[in-house]
Amino acid sequence: MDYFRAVYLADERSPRALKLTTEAIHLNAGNYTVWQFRRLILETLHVDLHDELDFVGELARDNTKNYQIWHHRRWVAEKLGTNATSKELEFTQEIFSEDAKNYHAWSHRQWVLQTLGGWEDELEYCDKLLRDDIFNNSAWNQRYFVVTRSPVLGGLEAMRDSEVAYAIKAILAKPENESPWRYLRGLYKDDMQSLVKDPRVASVCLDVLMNKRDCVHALNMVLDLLCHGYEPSKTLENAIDALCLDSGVSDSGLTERVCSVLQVVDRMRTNYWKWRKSVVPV
Amino acid sequence: MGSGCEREKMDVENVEEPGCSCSWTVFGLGASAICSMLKNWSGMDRGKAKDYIISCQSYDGGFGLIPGSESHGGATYCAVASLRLMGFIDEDILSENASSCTIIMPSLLYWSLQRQAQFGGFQGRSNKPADTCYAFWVGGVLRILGADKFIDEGGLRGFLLTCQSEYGGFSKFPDLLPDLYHSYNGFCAFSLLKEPDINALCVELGITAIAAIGL
Repeated sequence: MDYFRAVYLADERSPRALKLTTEAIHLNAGNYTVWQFRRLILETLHVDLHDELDFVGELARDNTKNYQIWHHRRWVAEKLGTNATSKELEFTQEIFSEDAKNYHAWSHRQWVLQTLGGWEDELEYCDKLLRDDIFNNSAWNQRYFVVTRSPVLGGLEAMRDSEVAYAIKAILAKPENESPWRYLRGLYKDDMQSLVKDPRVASVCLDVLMNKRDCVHALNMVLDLLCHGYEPSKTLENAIDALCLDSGVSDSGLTERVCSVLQVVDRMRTNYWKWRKSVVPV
Repeated sequence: MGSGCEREKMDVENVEEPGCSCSWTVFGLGASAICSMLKNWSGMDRGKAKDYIISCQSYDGGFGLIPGSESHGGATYCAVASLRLMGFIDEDILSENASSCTIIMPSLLYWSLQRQAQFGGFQGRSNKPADTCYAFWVGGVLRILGADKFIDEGGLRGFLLTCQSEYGGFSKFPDLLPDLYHSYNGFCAFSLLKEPDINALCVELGITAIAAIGL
């Protein structure tokens, strides 16, 4: 490290200085001063950055959560531009094959898509990851990212219909999975009235409650609908009433009854549901 | 210190391009904390900072590190603590009259509470295992929002104790060896739980309330 400090202070940007940074990085890949100096050397020497990508790739595989390595990879990829697109998408896929939720890799992948492109197969890739693990919230988030930002799809409004169907299928497969419920709600983020008017939303809640009566996510969605003016069907009211009987709940309004049921079936958050009952719109 | 704030200001202006590699919600907290402690906001454009943080709120109510990224307990803490330090979150945010600078509050509140997972601990992201440190990151968010009364305290306490090492300190998960980071967050979580003989916290700075008074 003394040798490193010497070349750093002398601002020597030579091949031997570059080798020194390699050694220093292997001693401590978190030393951002070394990485910064390495970038200066790489620029000065006009090094082939494809080799640099290989170097940082090897390091990243052994240190998948190191901020400095991912930052350096981004710097290299930005310099290479669209020549690096497919390699970066492949690299992040490789990381996801070991850890499908690596936050650094997802940030990097989103940056690649927005800066270098490559959106064409991204929705299909999200689908593949969700087929591997329907509980992968990172993949659900990426799906939302693609649906809302991809320049090759039509935007959220154009995609909403098919994405609602996608979310509902996932919900029915595993109703206890929080991710598709949040995704479904997110598809209507700035348009609650459309959420209320989409019959499929209330319908999936009812379908789930008929089979899994204490599903918190379904009950929470019903509460959301009711708070935004949804007029419940008789079937839904009956389903809630059956739950009330099970739980010993006897409030007068339907919204209050849903809150009270939630107090019982979601005991961890019982105080929250009690507060929700106190503030529901009349 | 002043020149540090100036650099932070330049960074704020520079991070508005998509996909900036810096995790701004993290750095934003650093900048807010510095300005708050110096009681000098001249080095930072709070309005722009607020707008950027708000753009990091995800469709599910939590905050990610950059716009579009997945909601994460640590990022949510940085976002909410920064907004509190900058003066954009009222003390009584749960009441109807409180201002919220256009954070979508109900979904943030629900997202945060939903992080309390199966064994009473807090997870950092949906469908991930509970980890000691999120008891502080997410517990801290709930404290700032005045919603820590909604936490299942017994459950959380129970989980944290399974992460306490026989040698002292806390680990990430039960039955692992302790480390400084999880020990710090574990003790802070116990402070949020008002454990006797543990000092109260200034949550948004991550230091004791006594130390914060002295600033």
